[in-house]
Amino acid sequence: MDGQPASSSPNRDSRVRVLIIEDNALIALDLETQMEDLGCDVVGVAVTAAQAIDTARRTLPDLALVDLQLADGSRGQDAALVLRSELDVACIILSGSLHSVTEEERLAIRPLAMLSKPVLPHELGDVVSRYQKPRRQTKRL
Amino acid sequence: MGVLFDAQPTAQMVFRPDLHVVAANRCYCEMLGIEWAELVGKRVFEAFPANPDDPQADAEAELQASADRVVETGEAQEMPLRQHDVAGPDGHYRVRYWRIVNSPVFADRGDPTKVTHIIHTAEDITGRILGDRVHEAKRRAAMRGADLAYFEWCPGSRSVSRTPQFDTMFGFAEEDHANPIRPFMERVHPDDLAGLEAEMERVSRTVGADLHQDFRTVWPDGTTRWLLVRGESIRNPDTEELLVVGMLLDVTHIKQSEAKLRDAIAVRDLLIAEVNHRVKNSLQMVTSILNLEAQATGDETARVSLNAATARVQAVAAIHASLYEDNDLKTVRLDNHIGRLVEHLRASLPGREEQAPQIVLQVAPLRLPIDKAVTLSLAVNELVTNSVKHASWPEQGGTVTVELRREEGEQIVLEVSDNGTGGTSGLLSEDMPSSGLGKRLIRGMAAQLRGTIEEECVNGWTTRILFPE
Repeated sequence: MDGQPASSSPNRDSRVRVLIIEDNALIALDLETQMEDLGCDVVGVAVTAAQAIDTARRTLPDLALVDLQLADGSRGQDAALVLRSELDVACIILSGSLHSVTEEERLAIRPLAMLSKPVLPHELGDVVSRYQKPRRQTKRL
Repeated sequence: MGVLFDAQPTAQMVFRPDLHVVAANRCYCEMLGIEWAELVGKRVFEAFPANPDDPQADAEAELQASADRVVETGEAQEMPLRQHDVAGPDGHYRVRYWRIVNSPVFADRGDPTKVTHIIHTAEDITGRILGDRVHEAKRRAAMRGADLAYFEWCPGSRSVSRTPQFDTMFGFAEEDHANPIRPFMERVHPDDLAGLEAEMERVSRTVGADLHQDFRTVWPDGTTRWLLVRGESIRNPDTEELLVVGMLLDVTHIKQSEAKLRDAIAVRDLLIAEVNHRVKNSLQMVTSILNLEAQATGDETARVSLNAATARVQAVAAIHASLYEDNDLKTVRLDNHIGRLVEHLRASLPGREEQAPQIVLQVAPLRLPIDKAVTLSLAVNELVTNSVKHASWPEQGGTVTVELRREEGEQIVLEVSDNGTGGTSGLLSEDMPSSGLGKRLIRGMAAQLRGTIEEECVNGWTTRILFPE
C-alpha cells in the first residue's frame, strides 16, 4: 500500500480504478476488501491530503473514496477538490461529519455520494455499481 | 374706530410714550378683569402695581425701555417673555406670563415720522408656560430619579447638552468640557466610529427618525464600555434647528453575557460534533472488523455466525448515520432509517438468489426517541432475517412486508409478515431450542419497548410488536 499500485489484473482497462483516502487502517482495509469484492482495482491508500494528491497524479484513478478528517490534520475535501479540478476524479465522501462540507465545496467537488459512517456495505455497493467508467484516452501521459 | 378696536380678538391697549393709558379694548379689560374707566388716564403701572412679593418684578423699567425703543426706531418691538402677576378681585396676585408686542402709531400730521402712541398687544400665555415648566420639571425629576444619561444633540452646531451621567459613561469627570460633541466622538472605538457616524448622519437628516445604535467607548486608561444610544430627532421649536434628544445606556454587562453565551454554545457544538464523529468512526471500525473477520474465515459455520453478528451490529450502528440529520436531536425519523436498514438487509441476506423474496416497506413517517429506534432496528433485523432464512416461498415469488404504523390510543405497531410456508415455530412457544438467539432477541426487544407480541399463521407468518409511544 502506501500509494503503491495494486497488482494489475488481466482486463485492467475495463475495471474501475479506486484510490482510498482514509487514515484509519482498519477502515481502509475493510474498504479495500469491499472494493475488490465489487470488482474494482484499488490503486492505493492515502492517509493525508498531500499523499492523496500525489498518489492520484501518479496512478490516475477513476474514483476516490474520501474520508474528511485525515492524518496530520489535513482535510479530505481539499484533496477531493484537487482530484476533481485537476484530474477529473469522481469522489465518494465517507465521513462521520458530513456537515463539515460546505455548500461551496460540495458544488466544486460534485461527489457521487456523501455517505455517513458507519457505512453499510450495500450503500457503497449501490453507488459504485451505478458508476460508469469514463473513456479517457487523452489523460494518460 | 372704537367699535373695530373692541372687536379685536387680541387684548390691546394704547398708551403714550410716557406710559399713560389712552385706550384699552374690551378683550384687554376682560382678560385682566378690570373696568375700562379704571384704566384710562392712568400710567400703566398705576393700574397694575407690581407684585410686592415678587422681587424680580421690574416690568415697569422694561416696558419703558421698550416704549423708548419704539419711539426711537419707529418699529414694533417684541418684549422678552415675562412674568407679570396680576391682582384679582380678592386682592391676591396670580401668576401671569405675557408675550407683549409694542407697535408705533404715527398720529401727528405735522410730523408723520413721530411716534405719538404705542399699541400694546398682550397675549396671556400663562397656561402654556406653566405647562412647559411642569413638563420640564417632570422630565428633570425622572432623569434624576433614574440616574439617566440624557442628552440633546444639535447636529447643526455640533454640540451636545446633557446630564452629568452622560460624561461619566465616556469616562469624563463632570464639567470636563463644555458642549462640543467632538471630545465624546474621540472616545468612540475606532471600529464602531463609522457605524455610529452613519447612524447619526441618517437621523440628523429626517425629523422624527429614531436613533438606535450600540458602540464601544474606550477611555484613556484602556477601559472599554459598551453603550447603547437611543433617541429621536425633533425640530427645536425655538430655533427651528434639528435636535436629537435621547439617552445613553451602559450595556457592557449584557454584551459580555452575550459573548460568554456565544462562546459556550460554540464549545458545546464543537464537543457534540467531535463526540459524534468519534462514535461514528468507532462504529465504522467495529463493523469493518466484523466485515474483515467474516471475509477471512474459511469455516462456513463461523462465517454464518459472523455475518449474523455483523448484521446485528449494523442494525445498531446504522442509527448513528441517521442521527442529527435535522435540528431534532432527540428523535429519529423512522421511515428514512428503517428504509435504509431494510435496503441493507435486502443486499446482505444470504444466498438462494433465484428465490430471494421481495421486501416491501410500509413505514409511516413517525419519529421515535433514539433508544426506542435502536431497539426497533434490532427487532426489524431479527424478524426480516427470520422470515428470509426460514420460510419456503410459493412459486410466484415471496414477499416480506415490513409495516410500521400508529394505532389508536398512541399505540405503535411493528408488523413483519411473509407469504412463505413452514420454517419457524412460534416465538411465544416455550419449547424454543437454545440456538434460537433471534427469537430471544425479539422477545427481549419487545420487553424493552414495554410491548406485547402477537403472532398468527394465515398464508404465512405475521408477527406484531405493539408498544406505547
